[in-house]
Amino acid sequence: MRIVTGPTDRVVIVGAGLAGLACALHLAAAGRQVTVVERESVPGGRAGRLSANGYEFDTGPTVLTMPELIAEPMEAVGENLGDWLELTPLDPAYRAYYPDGSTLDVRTDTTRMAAEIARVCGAREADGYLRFVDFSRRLWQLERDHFIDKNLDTPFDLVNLNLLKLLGMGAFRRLQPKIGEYFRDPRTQRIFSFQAMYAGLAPHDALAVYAVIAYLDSVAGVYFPKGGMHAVPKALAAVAEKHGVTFRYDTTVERVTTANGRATGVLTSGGEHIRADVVVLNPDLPVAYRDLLPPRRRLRRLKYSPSCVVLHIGSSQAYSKIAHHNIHFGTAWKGTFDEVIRKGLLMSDPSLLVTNPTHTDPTVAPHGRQTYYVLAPTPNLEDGPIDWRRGMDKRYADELLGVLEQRGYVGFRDGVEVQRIITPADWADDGMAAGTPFAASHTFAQTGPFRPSNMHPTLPNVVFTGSGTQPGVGVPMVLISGKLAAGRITGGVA
Amino acid sequence: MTTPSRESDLVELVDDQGGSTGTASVRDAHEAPGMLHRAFSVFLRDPSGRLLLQQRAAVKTRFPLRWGNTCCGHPVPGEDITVSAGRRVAEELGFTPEAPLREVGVHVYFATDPVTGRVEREYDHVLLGEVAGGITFRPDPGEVARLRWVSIEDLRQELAATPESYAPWLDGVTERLATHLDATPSSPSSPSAPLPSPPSSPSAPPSSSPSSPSAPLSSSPSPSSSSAEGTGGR
Repeated sequence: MRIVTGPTDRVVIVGAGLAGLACALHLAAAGRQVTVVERESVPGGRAGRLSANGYEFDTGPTVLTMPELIAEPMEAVGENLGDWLELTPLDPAYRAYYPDGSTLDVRTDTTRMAAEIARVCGAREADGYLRFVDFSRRLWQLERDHFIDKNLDTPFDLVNLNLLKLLGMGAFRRLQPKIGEYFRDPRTQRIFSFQAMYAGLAPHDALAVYAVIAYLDSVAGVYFPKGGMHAVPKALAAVAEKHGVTFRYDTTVERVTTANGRATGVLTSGGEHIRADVVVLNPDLPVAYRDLLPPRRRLRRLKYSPSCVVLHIGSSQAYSKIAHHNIHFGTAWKGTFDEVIRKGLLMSDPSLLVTNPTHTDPTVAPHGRQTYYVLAPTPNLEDGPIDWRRGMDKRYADELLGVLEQRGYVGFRDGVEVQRIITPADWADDGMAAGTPFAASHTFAQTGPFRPSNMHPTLPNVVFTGSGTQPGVGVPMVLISGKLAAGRITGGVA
Repeated sequence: MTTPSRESDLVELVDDQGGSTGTASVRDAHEAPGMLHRAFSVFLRDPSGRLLLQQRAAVKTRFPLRWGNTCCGHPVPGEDITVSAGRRVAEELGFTPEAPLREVGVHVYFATDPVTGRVEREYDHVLLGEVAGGITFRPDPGEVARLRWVSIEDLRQELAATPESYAPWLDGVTERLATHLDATPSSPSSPSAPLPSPPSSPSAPPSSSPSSPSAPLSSSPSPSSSSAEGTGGR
């Protein structure tokens, strides 16, 4: 494994995203002097916070899985997750709504989930589900221990007995036919394969290795932190501060300074030079290369995941029949992926995620009020050059509100008290390449050792962390990427 | 539901007097600098004089979710334009007008789409169809997001107030229609419901639209053999 050469005592981490925070904790645990420099006045990065008229909105991820991965960096400094975060398991993890009017609750207790599937789809489908749970659990364990939780320098790092095991499990075939081996009903097929979208791919294009995402959120459990998702970065930052990490908020880094082929620190927009032995970069990797590092002649061209429009809605309307997370599938399935990913168009028959945080934690809204987070997949700015300014954001939001009213959210428009619309143009303004918060897609050529490395090719003391590098996108993956980045510096892990 | 690609359909190229000069594919006609070609813009009007507008579907490649006239497209080269347009109305709205469509004017316009880099140079025949009240439409969701009725006065005010919510040709075709209606103040199909006539002066210049310099086409069109296939939509 490549590691940072030379002194590594003083580390500057640019960006207090989840990966930067996890990295800071692992480095503090290894006795490094760590300074985190953050542009915003709060930690979180993409897992940020938006406050308006007494409503509190999580701006980034809303689905929290694998709390043990939050516990891991805390335990590194001897702290317990339970002392810093109050997590509520969501039951159901999701409620799925299908165009035929039926609904399916995704329960993470496999016995109850099998019963739910038997009720909606019949006993044979429930049997397939139980076989899928076995398959995806083995897949996750193999992938996690030998491929995800590991710094990979070359494809040869993959070649071990476990690779043969993965091959034997069909993990490198396509996800859609693999799912078809376990599920016959189109409704269960959808609920266990739509997660490929998070990896930036349609289920018929994604590798079966991504069945692990379905495992993480449909089998391993979904949680909600008291106070909202933003409580996670707040807790990680508080633990880090307690253990000696210095935080410099409201401080923008202009660039990484270099001398004699090494990074020497970072220069802030205020003109201050913060010296460091090692620099860790948490901003979106392509943007870090573009804006913070010395120009390189040949930049690798990446293929990006689709993006999304998010509506943050504060409302007087409550819907007693919905769950915390609600997935509304349109009639089209393959066609929807084709529109968004291949053709670069908006969905003609939208599939939407509607999260209702006040369902679990009423304190994130004024008394008696509700918050809704509506996510609609859209093309990223490279695949679908849509001009999101000049009223397009409002027109699309209005279209989505209309869809929600048709899908059963009666009187949704009338209940809206606060509305914030986030489009790919806003993601781009926030420093995300191609205007997508989902980073480079997980095609085979951009996965594992083929994903952009977390070490700079020429500067031996510049390390990357976050969704744009290894292992990939999603809260569990970026927490692991923080640990992998720390491992490049300490040589300590994996 | 997705619309089949119409990029290879043929459109009829015209000179600046509307005379036919040949055909080209939709793709070629819209590549910069663009070739002037024949198109139609249909307005359906109810007995009270209101016009039917369509909001273009989110999935459209050009101007998604903007509001336009009832329906528009490119005629099949050589076919009567009202026949092509009637078929297009039926395809998009799931409704076939009983009374024939009438031409009420022509709007020649040039527009560029800064996002896609495509160019529109259209010789746009504005067609009017009178329909009964209370019609149920079954719009194709791949084409149409929503429909609404609006009086021409309200439409002109909205176009002036929020032009970015509308397709770029709507202002021009609405002005052509208004000029026609000013000249023939009563609606032929509904004499009992007189059209509330706008107070605009009949001497208003016909090309008041800012986006309609009827520049003569300078690039020479390339005639090719005409083959009748499908009505191209815009």
